[in-house]
Amino acid sequence: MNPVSASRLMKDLEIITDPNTIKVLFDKIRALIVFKYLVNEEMTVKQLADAIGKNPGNVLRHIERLKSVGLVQQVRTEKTTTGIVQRYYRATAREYRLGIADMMKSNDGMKAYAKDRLRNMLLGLEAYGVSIPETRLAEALSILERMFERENQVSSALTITNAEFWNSLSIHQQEDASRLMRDVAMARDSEYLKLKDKWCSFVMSFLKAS
Amino acid sequence: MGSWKLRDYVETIQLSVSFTRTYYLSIFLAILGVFVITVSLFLSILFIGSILLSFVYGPFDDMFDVFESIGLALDRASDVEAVGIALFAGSALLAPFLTALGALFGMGQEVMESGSISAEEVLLWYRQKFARLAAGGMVQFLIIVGPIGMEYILAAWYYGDRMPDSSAFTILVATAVAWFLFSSGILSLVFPSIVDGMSISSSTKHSIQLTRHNFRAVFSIWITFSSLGLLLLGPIIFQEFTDFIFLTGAAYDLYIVASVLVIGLLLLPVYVLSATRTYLIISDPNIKEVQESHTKEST
Repeated sequence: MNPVSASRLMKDLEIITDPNTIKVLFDKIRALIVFKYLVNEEMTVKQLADAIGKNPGNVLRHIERLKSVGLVQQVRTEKTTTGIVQRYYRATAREYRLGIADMMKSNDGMKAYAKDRLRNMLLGLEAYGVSIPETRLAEALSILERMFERENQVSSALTITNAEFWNSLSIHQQEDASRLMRDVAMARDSEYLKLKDKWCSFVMSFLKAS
Repeated sequence: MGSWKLRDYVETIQLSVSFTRTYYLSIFLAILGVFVITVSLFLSILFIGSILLSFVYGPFDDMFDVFESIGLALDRASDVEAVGIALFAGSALLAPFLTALGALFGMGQEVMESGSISAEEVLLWYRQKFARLAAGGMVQFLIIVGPIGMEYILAAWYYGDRMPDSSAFTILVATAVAWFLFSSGILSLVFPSIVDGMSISSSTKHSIQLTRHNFRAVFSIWITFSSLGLLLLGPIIFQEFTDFIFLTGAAYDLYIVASVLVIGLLLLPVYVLSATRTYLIISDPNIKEVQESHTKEST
């Protein structure tokens, strides 16, 4: 296997479902490397080390760990006049999301974490006057879980086919383009639309009249 | 065959010498740190080995008696068993040293990718990758030494109690040396591949594949350093195994110490950097040359 990734296509969204991958991202430096830097641009170990104020050896070990779980890929190599052989790394996707459905099916602490997260989301709706009674929370969680799962499936099928052009865009342009394409993809998916409709009806049934 | 030119070879050696000179203090401290840990681990393996073997051979007076028991086991064993014991004991005892060698490649990649180095990082490579580097080292040891053991078994079976004549002996030794140099060369990129995050089997395959496609690149570096090593160790080998007398008394002992120090503290770091740079270059067939190093500030 060549360390230079065979596929240079960058995914728009990747759903992280493997608990080992999630654990790798629990490290603050690794999360910073991926979410702050490598989702936005290709960078070398030296550039990353300068940006986060760590020594290059430390960054290199983090990169190696991230590569091993498929969050980061090597995209190109340059030989400089100083003799250094610079490898450029990039995240494998523009955005990562935790696969709620898979986490809910897991047997370790991930399940409790995912459940808590969804419950907190539902409790937050109170601010908009949506009060879901305790007896209906399980139903709400179930609809939400299925809707997120479908949304993730549809969004993660989108691929950035021109990575060079993508890299030339500003972060705002990237975010806008991504949002527009996801909207299009979602609007064309009948299963997602059915789930969304169900969710909307559910929420509206608990909306207190102001 | 990759497009490895004489210029690449010279540039790689020059840079490796230059980086070794620039970062020598860090490299020296890294080697020293790794050496201390390696020796401690080696002694631990001896200690554990002596406890286990004491159940078979009775209690040992000294931890190093474990070598005596291995020697005893070799004496009692048949040729096939002897090769098995040598491979098993050799790979177990060499594991910490092979890991140390592998950890130095982590340092090599750090230097060659970023142009800087910190001594403590080598120890972290050693700690974090111990299992994989040790296993990778043992696999290399078995691939390199296994066929030589097979040659020994076949020769012992063919000749029985007779000694082979000098021409046959020369052929046997030459075959063993040629295999040693060839197999070590094709496996010389296993450690850089492991440092790069690959599994042991993928690293072994990757090293063989890279060497197949970039034979000149890999072997020009490997032959250079193995020749220099053999040049230094040659007189010792000849003196130990033939009637040839190179030096006597304290001068000979001093030469042995000096050779080991030159190999461990000078040749080894330069080789590690050269092999790492070669690996980084040949592992991406689409590598580009740029005018200056891109840093965050300059982009």
